[in-house]
Amino acid sequence: MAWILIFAVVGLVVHPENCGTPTSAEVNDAAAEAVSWFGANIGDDGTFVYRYDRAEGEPLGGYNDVRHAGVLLSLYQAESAGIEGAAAIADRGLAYVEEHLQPTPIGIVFGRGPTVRSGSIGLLVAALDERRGALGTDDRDALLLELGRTLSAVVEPGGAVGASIDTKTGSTSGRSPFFTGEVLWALARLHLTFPNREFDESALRVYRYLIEDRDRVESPWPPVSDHWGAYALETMSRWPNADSLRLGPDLELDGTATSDWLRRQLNLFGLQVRYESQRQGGLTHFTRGTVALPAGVGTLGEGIGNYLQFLNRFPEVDVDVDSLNDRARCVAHLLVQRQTSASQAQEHRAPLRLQGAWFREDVTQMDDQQHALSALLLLKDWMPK
Amino acid sequence: MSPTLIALAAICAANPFRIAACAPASVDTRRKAVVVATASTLLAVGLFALLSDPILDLLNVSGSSSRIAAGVAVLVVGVRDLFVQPPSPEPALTGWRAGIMPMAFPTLFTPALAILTISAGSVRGAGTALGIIGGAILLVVLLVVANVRGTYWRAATVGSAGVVFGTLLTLNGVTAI
Repeated sequence: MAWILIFAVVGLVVHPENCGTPTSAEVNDAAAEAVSWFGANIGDDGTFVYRYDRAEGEPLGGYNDVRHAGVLLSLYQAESAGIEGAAAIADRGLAYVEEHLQPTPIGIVFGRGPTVRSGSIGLLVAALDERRGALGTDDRDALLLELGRTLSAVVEPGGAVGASIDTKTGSTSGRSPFFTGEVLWALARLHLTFPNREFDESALRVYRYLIEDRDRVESPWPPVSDHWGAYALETMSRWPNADSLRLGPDLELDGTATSDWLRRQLNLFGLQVRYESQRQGGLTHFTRGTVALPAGVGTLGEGIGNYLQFLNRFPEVDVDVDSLNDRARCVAHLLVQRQTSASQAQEHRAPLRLQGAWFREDVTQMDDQQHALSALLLLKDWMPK
Repeated sequence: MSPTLIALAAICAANPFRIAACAPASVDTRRKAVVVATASTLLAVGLFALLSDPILDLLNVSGSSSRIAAGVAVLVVGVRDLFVQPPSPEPALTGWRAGIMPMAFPTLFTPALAILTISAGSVRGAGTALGIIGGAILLVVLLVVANVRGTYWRAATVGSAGVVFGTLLTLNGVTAI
């Protein structure tokens, strides 16, 4: 009787995990399909289909500039990873960016309306810098540097990042759980590309704030698994002065201890992947809820992919890398498994709206493809051949 | 999932005072029964530790999540020990065979100990898991051999410790990668 009771309770708490190990080729194919989705769903004005309801067979409208920049980033990442044609699609998307660059008292910003978000500038910088590397061109360097100066201006003396920018006054306000990491990553990339422009000063301020103060001051609940922070840490570990800043095995950056933050982040990513992999429909719908947004699953892959690269550089760091590898394979498996295949798409009246996309409850949003694509690209090299 | 936490959780899962309560009254028989109970439990623990990875693979449960399972099982056994009287020596197999039933099964080798062994075997390796949990079992049976009395209050005290260590183990699994 006791055995039955205990196994029943344990079974309610711990479910089987839907994990597998896709091959590197399967992951790459899924990424290529996502790129094709963007190619099939970009308009003449450079915008992408924002949301699409497959049950209704209709786009749902709306648009988001931060996510537009994020999509461009993922496409340039795809080009860097060898998926040809991805940059050409992203370059078409740059038309929308050029239409919506605005001068402000603190510099050029990207976005519509009287208030724009610092996250859109951060991701645009990351996208343009990725483009620079993918295409080997410096034709947007002037814009990159101008946007970088704007980003430095949204960093407050204590390292916090203003989320919204008033285009008339240049004043900033508010906080975002994601923009801090986005702006940090952008500044970190800029320092890597332009090491003599002192972007590291503002990057280090944001970094300290992120590691030491952000969770306490902004109190995000539930705690944020910060994939943008993971991108930033990975990038900063490649800074030319990373060694002198002691960003290395002792996980110290200019006196800022990162090990606690890193472990907390890894635990969050690991737990979320395990939880998500237990969502398999049927009874788990009642105990685990419906599957997460594909964008959310993608961010898990992005975070883990970046940390794997970081930890590969510093193998002496004492974390459970075997488990992290397991979670990487699992999240790649979930993304490959949940992507809409060509045969599934053919059953729909507008197959190109579906093929290569990820849906949750019949709706896809362009950042679902963005995050999933970025994750697959980061994870594919960690999968078996 | 430190060795100390595994050992403490194993002691609570086995609960020496529940085993003492169901041990034969005669000293000679008790000693023989304890030897049999120890040997058969160590055999079962060794087997579960050795098969931990295949079992978890079969169940599609990660090593990290198995810590949650072990923690919950230890916690549930602890709660049971808080509210349920220790088992009586009867019914039982006669003589030293009482070491098999009820001492080893179901009192010493509880489901919590089984799940804890699987989890520890996966996380720490079969040999280490057997070493830690085997050591905890030896400590438990030494208490039984020393003729401690298996009262409800003593068993409940260990049960309350089981609730604490089960909770710690669960949190350890939640915060694992």
